[in-house]
Amino acid sequence: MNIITANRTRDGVVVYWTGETWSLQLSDAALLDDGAAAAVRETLLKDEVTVVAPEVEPAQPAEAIPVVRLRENIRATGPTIDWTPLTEPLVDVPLR
Amino acid sequence: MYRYDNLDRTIVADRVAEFREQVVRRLLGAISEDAFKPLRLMNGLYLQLHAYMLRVAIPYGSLTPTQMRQLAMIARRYDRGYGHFTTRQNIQYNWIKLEEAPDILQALADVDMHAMQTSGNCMRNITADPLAGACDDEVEDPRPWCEIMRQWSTLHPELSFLPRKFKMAVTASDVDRAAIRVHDVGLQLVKRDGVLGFRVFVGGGQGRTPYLAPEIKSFVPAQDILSYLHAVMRVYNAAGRRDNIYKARIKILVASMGEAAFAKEVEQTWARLDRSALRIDDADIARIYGAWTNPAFDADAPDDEPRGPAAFERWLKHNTSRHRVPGYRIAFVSLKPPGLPPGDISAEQMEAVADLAERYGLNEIRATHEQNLVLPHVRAQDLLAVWETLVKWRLATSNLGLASDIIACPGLDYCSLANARSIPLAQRLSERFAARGRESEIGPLAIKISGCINACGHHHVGDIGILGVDKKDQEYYQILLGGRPGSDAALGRIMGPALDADATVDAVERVIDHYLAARFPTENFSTTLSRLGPLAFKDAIYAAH
Repeated sequence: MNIITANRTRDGVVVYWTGETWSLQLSDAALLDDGAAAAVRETLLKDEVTVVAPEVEPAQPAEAIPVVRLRENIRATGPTIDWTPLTEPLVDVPLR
Repeated sequence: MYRYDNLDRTIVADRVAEFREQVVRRLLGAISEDAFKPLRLMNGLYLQLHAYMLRVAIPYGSLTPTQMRQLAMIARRYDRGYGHFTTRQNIQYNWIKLEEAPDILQALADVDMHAMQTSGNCMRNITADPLAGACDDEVEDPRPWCEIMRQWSTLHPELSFLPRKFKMAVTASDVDRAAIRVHDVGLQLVKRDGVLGFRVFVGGGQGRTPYLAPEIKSFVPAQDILSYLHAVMRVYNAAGRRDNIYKARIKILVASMGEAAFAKEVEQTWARLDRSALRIDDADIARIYGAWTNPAFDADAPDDEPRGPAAFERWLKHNTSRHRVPGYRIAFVSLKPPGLPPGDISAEQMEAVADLAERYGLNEIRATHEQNLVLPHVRAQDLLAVWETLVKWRLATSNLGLASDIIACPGLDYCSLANARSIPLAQRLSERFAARGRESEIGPLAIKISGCINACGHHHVGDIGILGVDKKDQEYYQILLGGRPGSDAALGRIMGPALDADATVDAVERVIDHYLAARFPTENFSTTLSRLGPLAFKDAIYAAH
C-alpha cells in the first residue's frame, strides 16, 4: 500500500493526501494501492497552487510511523537532532 | 569591509522586486513550478525535506555586526530561531516559507546582503581565507580582489547558464586556509618581482568524482585576472558537458582534456579576447579600495600575552592566533560545542557575536568554511572579556582544529539529497572525544562528515572523512583516511565497506587509538598517517568485523 505526500507550495510544509484534501498529519493519509496511487498523483500534480511535487511513498500501515523509508519518517516527525537553540546566556558558568 | 554603492543597492533592490512578483505569480498559479524552480534557485531558495531552505550569500565570509543582527532577526522572525553556517561561508535557514521569502530578501537588502547566485548553474559565492586582512602570512588582503570578481560575475549574461555550478576560492598565503585545490577555480594571490598576480588552479572539486585542481597558470598579473578567468569560463561554456549532470563540472573537462591541453585552450582563448576591456586599471582599484572601510587599529595596544583562568588560557591556545598588527589577536568563535549540531547558531548567539564585534572587534566578523566564526581584530587586552562573554553564550569551546571541531553537512535530517544523517553522527563523535578529555592528547584532527556523495561536508579532505550511504534504506557510513584541504592537499582514501553508525563511532575511536600508539613524539594524526599509510589503519577500522 502507499500514501501520497507533498510539500505545501506557500510554506513548504509536509502534507499528506487524505483522499479528499491535504492534511498535516501522516495519520490522516489515505492508503492506496499502486494503481490508484499513481492515478491520484497524476491528478494532484496539476494543482501546483496548493502543493509541489506530490510523490507516492510506500506505507506500512501497521507501524506507529506508517511510512517505509527513513527519509519519510524524518519528514513526518522532524529532524532527529536533540537540540534547543540557546536563547539566554548561561548562568553560573565557571570562568576558571 | 566593502561598502555598497548605489549601483550595488539598485541591483539588489531590483532583484527583490522581481522575485516578489515571481512569487506572487507562482502562488496564484500563473507560473508553473517547472518555470519557477530555476527562478527561486537563482535567489538561493531550495525546497528541502521539511520546508524551503534559503541560502544567504556572505561574500568572502565577511560580515558587519549590523548584518549579523539582521541575520539574527531573520532567524527569529522567519525561521525557528537559528541558522546554519555552511562550508561555503554562507548561512542557511531551514524553515522558510515561500510566501515570506520576498520579505526576507528585502530584509537582507536593507543591510546590503542578498541570496543571489547561491544556487543554480552560475558563479556561486566566492570564498576566501577567513583570516584575510588579519593574518601575518599573506601577500596582501585578497578580499578587494574577491569583490572585483564578485561584481564581474554577478548577473553576467555569459556566466548565468553554465553547464553546472561554479565555485571559486581565493587565498593570499602559502598556507591555504581556503581549500583552493578543491574548487572549480582556486586562486592564490602572489607577488613576483614586485608585481601582484595570481596563481590559477582549475578543475578541483569534491562530490562524486573528486579532483585536486592542477595549476594551469603560474602567474597572471592581477590587473588581467578578469580577462583570464573569462577565458577559462569561455572554454568551460563551450566544451563543458551539458548532456550529463554528473559529468558537467569543469573538473571533468580538465581531466578529460588533460591539464596541458586545457591550459593551452585557455591561453588561446585569452589571446583572442580584448583584454583591455576587462583590464582592472588603477581607477577600478581605487574605486574598490575607496569603498573599503579599514579597521582603525589602536597603535598603542599592548602586545603582552593575556593571562587568566586555566580555561581561558586553554581557549587562548586553541582558539586564537597571531595578528599582523602588534597588540591584536585573531579570535575564533567555535560553533562546535560537543554534542551539538556543527555550525548551528541561535539568533541570540548571533546577536552576542555582533555585540562583541562592535565592542571589541572593530566591527568585523568572518564565517569560515569550517563552520565557525572569527573575530579577526581583537586587542590582546580585550581577549579575556571576549572569552567571558563567549562562555556565557556557549561559544567558547576550546576545540579549533581538534577532534570535536567536526564539519558536518545538514544531512538527512534536513536535506532532500542526503542518503544518511550526518549531524547525529557528528554529535556522538564530538561527545565521545570531548567527554574522555582526549582532544589535547590527540592534537590536530579534522573529521568531516557528508550525508551523501555531493560532499557538502568535505569528507574527501578530512583526516578522517565519513560518507553516509543508503543500503536498503539503512544508514551506513564509509570511512576515508588521509584527506587534506590545504597547501599539501590530498584526497582521502576509502578504507573499505561501510559500517553502521554505532560501528562507525567505535571504528573512529580505534583509528585514533592506533595513531596514539604508533605516533612519534613530534607527529600529529596527519603526519603519522602519512608515514604509515592509510592501510596501516584498516585493521583498526574493521577490528570488530
